[in-house]
Amino acid sequence: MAEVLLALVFTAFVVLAVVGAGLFAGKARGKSELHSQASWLATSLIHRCLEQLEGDFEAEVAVPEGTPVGPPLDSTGRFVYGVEESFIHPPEADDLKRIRVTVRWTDAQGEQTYQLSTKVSR
Amino acid sequence: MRSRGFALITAVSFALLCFVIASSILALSQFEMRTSSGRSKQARDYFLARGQVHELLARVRAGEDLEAYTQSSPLLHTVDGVKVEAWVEEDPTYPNVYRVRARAGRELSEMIVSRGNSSGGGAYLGLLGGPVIFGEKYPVTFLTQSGIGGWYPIVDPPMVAYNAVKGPVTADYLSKEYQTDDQGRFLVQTISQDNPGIGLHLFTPSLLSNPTAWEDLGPVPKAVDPAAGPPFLDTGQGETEPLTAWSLSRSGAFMYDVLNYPAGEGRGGADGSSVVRCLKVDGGVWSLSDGPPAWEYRADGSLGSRTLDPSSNGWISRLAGRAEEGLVAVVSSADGTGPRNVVASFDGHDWSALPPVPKQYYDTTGTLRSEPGYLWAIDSVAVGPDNEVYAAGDVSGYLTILKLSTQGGGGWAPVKPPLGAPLASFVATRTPPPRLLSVESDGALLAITSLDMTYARLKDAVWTDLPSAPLANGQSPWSCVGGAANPGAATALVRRVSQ
Repeated sequence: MAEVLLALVFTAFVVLAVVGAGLFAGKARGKSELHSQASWLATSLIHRCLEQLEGDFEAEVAVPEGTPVGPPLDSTGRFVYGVEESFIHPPEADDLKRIRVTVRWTDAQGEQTYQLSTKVSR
Repeated sequence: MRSRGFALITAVSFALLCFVIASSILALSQFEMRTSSGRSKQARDYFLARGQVHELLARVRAGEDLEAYTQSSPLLHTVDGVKVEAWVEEDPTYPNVYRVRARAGRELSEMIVSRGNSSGGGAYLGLLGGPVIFGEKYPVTFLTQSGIGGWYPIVDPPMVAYNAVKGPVTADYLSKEYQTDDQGRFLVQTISQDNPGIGLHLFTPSLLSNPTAWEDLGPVPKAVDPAAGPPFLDTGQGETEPLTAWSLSRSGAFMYDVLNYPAGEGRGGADGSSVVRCLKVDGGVWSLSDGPPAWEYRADGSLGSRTLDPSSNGWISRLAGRAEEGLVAVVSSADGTGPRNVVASFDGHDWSALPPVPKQYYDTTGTLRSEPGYLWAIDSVAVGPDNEVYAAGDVSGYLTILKLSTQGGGGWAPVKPPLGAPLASFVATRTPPPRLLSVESDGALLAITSLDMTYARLKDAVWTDLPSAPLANGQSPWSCVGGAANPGAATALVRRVSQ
């Protein structure tokens, strides 16, 4: 009888461990999915900026921080983004621009950030 | 006792199974996280590398030496702990061409540039990367030459065509004929077979690797009442009809279209006539003008109307844009009595027939010879910067090129070809009809000189053979056209691709 009881307790622990692993994996998966979405959004946004600048180098592509982008997220608000645009030295103040796209979102661990940066010449 | 033992064994087995499941879940989760993180890093590195290429180019434009940055002494930055380096390599195939490369993490970005003249333009050559299989896509690489001795690859044109019903569709292949103007612009025609339609794409030389250098001219509109046919150039019979006469000049891209073209009834309208219109697109704006009258020359050289179907317009087999306005066209006769082509000029308002082209040619000894009658089959026309007209054809197996000057009269005068250029075998094998002539902005004439389609350039009465384009492994010449923006620019084609 004691052995059966032992087997049941053992099984219960195992089930708890599996459920725990499942929950951990689910959370990690959710986090990973959000990160992927942020990466995709940032890539699309920086491509859009580059297309604009290749057509007209003088175009202003800066976007204020906190601008919403993408569909609303289930329980964590939504993605917001911003685009920084600046002329950089060297070599020529007006021949090279730096573009930095920042996408922010919030998950269970708090605020997350994904950033892409590049330079584009006239 | 046996049942108690069984409970333990079952519990341990269940635990093992659960362990396997849990491990799989965790491993899958870790794999997804690594993949996601890897993609994010890949995107970050790609844009860092791309940016480094642009910074190096900006430095070179600002006066720094292109060759100062080598793989051993690159332009080096560290961004958020990632080493980003850019350097320049000489292209192993194309002289004066450099590959600006940058690496960040595992990402390598590259841009192709030329030194001395980044504008490109001039002659264009298509190189074929594999065998031609009808109906299948095949890779064509375009090179251009801008007068400093090198051939430069340009970015691929967008493979977009326009179908009458579906709108933009994926093109299957490129027309073998291209067009250039004396500004170094380059026009290609894309063709879709699965969803019949064509597209026109214009390359304006700029930074050679810049994809935005290609402009999609959009669908070719039907020129009259939209109810008369689909709003795109299309046979309406489920087939693609590539443009046969189209041209590019400083004043725009020209093409001609046949209207009132009922399905299955051949090229004639309801009243037995055909209507030809010339279309022009310039800066995205389409305009329309009447086609030429249905002229043909009689045997004695006098001008008359086509005996069959005299009310219709003339068919156009070749077009060449004039320098500022209008065009020159080869008006074809199609009444079964043999070619009686008329070279006609359109000044933007009216058509006029140019004099018939005499049968004159230089033989292989350089002796000028004449035959009675006129040259009725005109292979190619070209117009120079002073609106002088060149026409080419063959007489007794010899290529002959004649020039009609617009100043001082005097009619057609034969141009002495290089070394006589016997083209008998070439003439017998020409499919499709090649572009024979083009004129550079300084008035120099480019022409085919022999069976292997080597090009030569005529300037100040002196022909110069032009260098062949380098071929990478597996490539063969496809087609070529010239029309240079820069004096001294040149074109060359090694040989025609085997059919």
